[in-house]
Amino acid sequence: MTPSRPDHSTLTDDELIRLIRGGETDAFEELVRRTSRPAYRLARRITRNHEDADDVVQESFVKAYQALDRFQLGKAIAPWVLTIVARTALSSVRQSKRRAASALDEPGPDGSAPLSERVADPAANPAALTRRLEVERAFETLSEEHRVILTLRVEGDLPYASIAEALGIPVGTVMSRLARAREALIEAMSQRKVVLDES
Amino acid sequence: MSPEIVSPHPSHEDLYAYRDGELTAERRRVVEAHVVGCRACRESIDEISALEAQLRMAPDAVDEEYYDSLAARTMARVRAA
Repeated sequence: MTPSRPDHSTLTDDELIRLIRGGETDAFEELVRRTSRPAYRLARRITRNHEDADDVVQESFVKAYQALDRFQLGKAIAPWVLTIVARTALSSVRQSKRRAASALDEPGPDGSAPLSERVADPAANPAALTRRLEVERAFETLSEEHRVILTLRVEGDLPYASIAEALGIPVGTVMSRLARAREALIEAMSQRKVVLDES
Repeated sequence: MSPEIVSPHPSHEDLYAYRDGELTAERRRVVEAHVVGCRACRESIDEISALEAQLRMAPDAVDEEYYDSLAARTMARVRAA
């Protein structure tokens, strides 16, 4: 009879980390499950393709596992993991030759539906669908610098200090760059509205 | 109807940092005092909040099954490292 695996889902982050530090490597899988969705979403927006995002996430979790002794208990683990993901993703972008023109039209794993089709949720009303897709298209027109910092804030929900650490820039620069990115997004939306109104 | 009392607009940096909860207590008080009385600044905050909410609502680019396989493959890499 196969022994059942312990259920770590009810443990707090700190309890989980103590277990892992004590040598229970399997407990790390619970940590992966808790943070893999935001980690993948963050990596996907930065790398703009599935293969690199998939690799970035796995590599980030390996780094997190190896650095877990340095993590300060009592703090939320997700921002710490996502900061590692952000740095790994940015490094990947600098090295990768797989550069998608638009993340919206990249297929998912095994050729599954691209994000542009997934955004078209049939349960949503047409106006909401159009709006959502337009925001995504406007986002895609931003510079890489603006897309990255907005992604760290929006998908990662990272505080400015963590964004600063991920990007290797001062917090003051985070403030100014994020403000410019947001203004660029607003401008991109107004330009798309002009195009839609004229078509 | 009396017009809203408006002190000088804060910079966009301060306005968004206020929205993000990233200002010092003292600076937050100053910006908040302005925002409370300034419709234009409140609308700026609302506008970017709505746009970012749309980005957050974007569906995952992968199916649910992907996350199960991701956990298994990640643990294989962790154990091998």
